[in-house]
Amino acid sequence: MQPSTPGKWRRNPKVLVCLALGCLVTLSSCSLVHPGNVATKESVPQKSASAGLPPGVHIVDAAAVEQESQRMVATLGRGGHESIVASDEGYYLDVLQGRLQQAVGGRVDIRRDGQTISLEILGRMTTDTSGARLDPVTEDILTQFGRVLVEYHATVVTVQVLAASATDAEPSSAAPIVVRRLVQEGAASMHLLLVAPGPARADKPKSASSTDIRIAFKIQPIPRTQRQ
Amino acid sequence: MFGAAIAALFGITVVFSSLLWLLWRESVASEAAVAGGLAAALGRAVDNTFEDARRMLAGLDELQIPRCSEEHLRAMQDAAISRPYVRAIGYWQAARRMCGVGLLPSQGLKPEHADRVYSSGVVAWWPSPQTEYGGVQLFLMRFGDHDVAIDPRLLLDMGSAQDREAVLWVDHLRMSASPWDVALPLPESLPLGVSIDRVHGRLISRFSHNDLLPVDVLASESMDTFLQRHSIVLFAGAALGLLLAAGWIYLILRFSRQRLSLASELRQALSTPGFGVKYQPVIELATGKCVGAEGLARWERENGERVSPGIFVPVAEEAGLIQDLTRAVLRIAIRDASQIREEFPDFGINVNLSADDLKNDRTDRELVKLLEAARLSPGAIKLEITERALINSDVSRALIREFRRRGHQVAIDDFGTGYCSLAYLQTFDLDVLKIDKSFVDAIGTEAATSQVIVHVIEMAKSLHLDTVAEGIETLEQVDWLTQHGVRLGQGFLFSRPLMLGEFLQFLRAQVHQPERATHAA
Repeated sequence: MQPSTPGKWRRNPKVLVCLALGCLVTLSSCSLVHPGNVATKESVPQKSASAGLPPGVHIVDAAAVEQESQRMVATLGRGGHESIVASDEGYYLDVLQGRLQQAVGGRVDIRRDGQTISLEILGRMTTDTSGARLDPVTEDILTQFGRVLVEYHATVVTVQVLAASATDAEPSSAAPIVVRRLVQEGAASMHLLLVAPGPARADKPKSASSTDIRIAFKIQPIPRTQRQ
Repeated sequence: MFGAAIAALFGITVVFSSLLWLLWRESVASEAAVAGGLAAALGRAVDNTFEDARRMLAGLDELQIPRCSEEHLRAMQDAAISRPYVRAIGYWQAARRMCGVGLLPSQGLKPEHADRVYSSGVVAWWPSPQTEYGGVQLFLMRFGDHDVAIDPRLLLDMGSAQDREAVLWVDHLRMSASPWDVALPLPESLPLGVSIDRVHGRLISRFSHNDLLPVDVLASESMDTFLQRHSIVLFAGAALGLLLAAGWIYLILRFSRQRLSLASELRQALSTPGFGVKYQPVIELATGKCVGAEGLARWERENGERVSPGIFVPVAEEAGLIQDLTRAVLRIAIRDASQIREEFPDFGINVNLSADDLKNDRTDRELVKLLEAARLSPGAIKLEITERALINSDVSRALIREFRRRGHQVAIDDFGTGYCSLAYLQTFDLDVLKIDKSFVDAIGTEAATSQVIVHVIEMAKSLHLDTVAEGIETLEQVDWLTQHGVRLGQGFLFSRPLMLGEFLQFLRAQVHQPERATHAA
């Protein structure tokens, strides 16, 4: 068999068809890959912040969080099995709100704002030689919250961890702990969107043995949309 | 008789008005009691239902059995059967009804918007077109993974008040109504209790119950129905009113007849021994010496009953007998004065004149005649005229001047109870001012009148009038009056009114007693 030369295969139509089909298959595969596994424009600069996060969790700058969450809702809404019929959206959020009240209502500030539910937890993070950890009460709240999210999985949950006050240290290590806890309880990592901690300010201590933190969640339902 | 007729008419009006008011009040109170009791019962029933439903849902959530298994379905079935208000129970995963029992479609009801999400986790949907199934708008409650559909009509059990229109509000939302589409005002627009809606001619009662949840019950009834229901009471009331009116008329007639017969009896008694005069000594406070007496009319009927001057004097005034009465008193007083003067030559007796006695000279002429007949000087009789009798009368002013000209002393009686000012009093020729008992009673007390007496005394002094204090009962009063320059007094401290014989003995006893030391001494 003679080795093929470029001039030869260009002239062979079978080879051209095979190449075209190969390209098509490759492109289709790329589009079917889950968006969580696709580095978005916003998520590219956050590679350092994503250290220690469960795979599939999105991370995004605070400035782009709205856009990214809408994109996730739209993308997941096309998925079918993890979304809800649009007419059930109100009912879904009502019962989710009730379920959250039942699970963590006494300890967490739960607010309803139209088609979103916001939760805010005030907790404490301790850092020592064995690493960073959350206080037991916050841990328990996250456990309960994670369990609720397992049942109410047709949601995108935006997570943001901030220092409780301007004088507290930047809680950059708290965010992965929070997200890990939720995923541990069964929450779908692909439905979680973490707001990347901002750059550490010079006037704030870089770390402290104990820091008061504020964990804010924003829950959005995923309405089912038609495939394009 | 005209007065009696007016009194009868007034009485009947008052009686009927009072009765109508009382009946209306009773009827409204009865309505309020019924509606209030109903609201309390319904409020309790709603509270119990809500709490029971929540517990039932929590209990189902806690069951450790496979969901939608036969055992699970049986548990839901048992819970539904044992509660009459339950139409269906469902088990859900998020917004998907997995299984359930009762009369609802398998996919359940999923209203777009919950009316309440309570802090306990209870989510509730009030009856609305979105919760309607089988022609009934249901009340839905979800807690955890189970929900219950409740027939709200069963929450509005009107009991004995079924003829009324009613609306049940729970947590400020309309829960149920009877009939279902009845239009009643919002609870917030009505006062608590029973009120009248004149525009629609109905009686609306609003009652609230606030235990687990705020519950308002509005019940409405047309005025016609209300009046019909209370017609027995109203008829009974009308009958009672007639009875009371008849009783009132009877009393008025009887009273009038009694007054008439009393007047006629008094007319006859004036010339009989039953009518007499008692004498209350007038004392010189500084010495304790009796210097005179006030003649007071007394009447004892033939049956021995004593009639108070408070009764027979007004009867005499009303019947036009007052001048006859004065004349009778003068006749007796002048006769007695003759007897007294035999032992105590300069002694004088005070006789009260009425306002009518100053309207003409009839009493004056009688007085002159009687004194002449008794051969007494005018000084034997002092005349007392009440402050009220002095009001605005030129005739009385002329008569008083004539009395004084002839030698009678003239006193103004009960001073302070009328409206005389110092300037007005100056226009009369008077000798003595008698201070009313009410001012004497106030001496030494904090009463406002305790200050007035000082001014009265000053007024008398400025007019150069002698003063007599009436109704003295204590030595402290005597001391006070003496210190303030009141010269004379009378009252129970010195003596009660006495019959002539007793009075003469009183005077004789005084002659043998040393003079009372003055307070200053």
